[in-house]
Amino acid sequence: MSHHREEHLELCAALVLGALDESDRIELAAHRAAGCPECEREIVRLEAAAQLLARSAPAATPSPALRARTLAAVAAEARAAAGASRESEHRILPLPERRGSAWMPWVFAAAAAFLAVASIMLWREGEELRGSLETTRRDLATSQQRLLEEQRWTAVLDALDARAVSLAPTPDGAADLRGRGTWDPATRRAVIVFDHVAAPTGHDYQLWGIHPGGPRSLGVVRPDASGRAIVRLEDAGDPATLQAFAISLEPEGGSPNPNAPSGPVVMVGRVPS
Amino acid sequence: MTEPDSDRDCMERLRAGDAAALEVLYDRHTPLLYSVALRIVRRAADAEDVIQETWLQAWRNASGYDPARGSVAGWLVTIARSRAIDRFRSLASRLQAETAVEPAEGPAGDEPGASAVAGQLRARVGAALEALPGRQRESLELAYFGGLSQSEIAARLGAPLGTVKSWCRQGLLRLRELVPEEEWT
Repeated sequence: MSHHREEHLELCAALVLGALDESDRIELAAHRAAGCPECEREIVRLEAAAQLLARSAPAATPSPALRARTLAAVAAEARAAAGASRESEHRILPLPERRGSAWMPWVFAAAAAFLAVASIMLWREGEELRGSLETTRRDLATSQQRLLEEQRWTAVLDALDARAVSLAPTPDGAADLRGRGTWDPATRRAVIVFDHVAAPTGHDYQLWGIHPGGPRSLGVVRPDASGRAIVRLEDAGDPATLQAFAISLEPEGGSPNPNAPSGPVVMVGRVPS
Repeated sequence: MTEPDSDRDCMERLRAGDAAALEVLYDRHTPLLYSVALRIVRRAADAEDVIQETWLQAWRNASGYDPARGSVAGWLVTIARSRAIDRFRSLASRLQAETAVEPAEGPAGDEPGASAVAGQLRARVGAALEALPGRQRESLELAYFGGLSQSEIAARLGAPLGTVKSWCRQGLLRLRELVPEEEWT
């Protein structure tokens, strides 16, 4: 769709310098999403030169206290992470164990008979209660799990480092295509809501993460009857290299090539750096 | 086979949750990361915060490092640079950065513990930058250390946007030529 031009090589230089203007970023992301080996090679070449620039910074030494402070901060986080995983294992509330069978006193035969009848009744009632307790326990566990799951995803929204993501249609996409969401580089999770993504019959929309090494499929978008889709990504890709999200129009089931769209890129949204 | 303490081996250990591996990487790479951060944010206190954030991010995101895509140093520099530019921008938006000037803090030139190789490479890249036409060099520096976009650079230098775009690419390509590949480490 988008043909390689000399200007794209200049945009590759801007990309590795982190100096792309907004419109150029979209232009380059759409161009690369369509697959351009020339630009990919250029990016590798220029990236090495940009790394050389880093070496030109005047030598400086931080205070020795920084080392202790930084290592302590990492150690604290490592401990917290270990603690959190232990805690989550125990987050489902334990319910009281059911009691063992009741002790039955031996006094009179009559009393024994009476007690036998009574205990059968109690046992039945107990069984019923136990049954409903089991059901409640299962429901509770399911709700807890659902709640944890929801909390995990809402955490993407209020994460300290969360970035807003907004996808806009390219010239190849219908003007009413919309995509908005949030991406958390720390956990690599993302939630993106798309509107008007009901693909024509025999086609699917496919989501891509755009990296310097090329596009990576993030799966096919499955809209509801109204054309809306809420995409929850467990791993949106490496935050150090993720540059943009893009949507392409593909044959049903997605692009035959997992590393490149086969159809036109209809939406692109850069990832704020 | 990797050496026990090679960068990539340390990244493996980091990924497995071994915080001790971070110590090795810290000692090896902090001089470079700090130099880059200080060049961008200009104040030692800010640069130190950037370094702490950088290592925390490297720790949290160790699995994000892909050896196929480049060196560990390059990955770390990318994190530190983007952290530093974020910080510099938020400082600049509070108009504080305008008053800060040259990196007055931190001993320049003399780095205890840093390898002579790093010093040599620095000199080599410095000389290569000097050899570039002035505005090509300025464009590269404003982009990489100043965090400016190409249109901002064009406005700053009073040059057409198209020219700035070409300076950036030509400058990078020339830098590659001037510093022999075997000296990149």
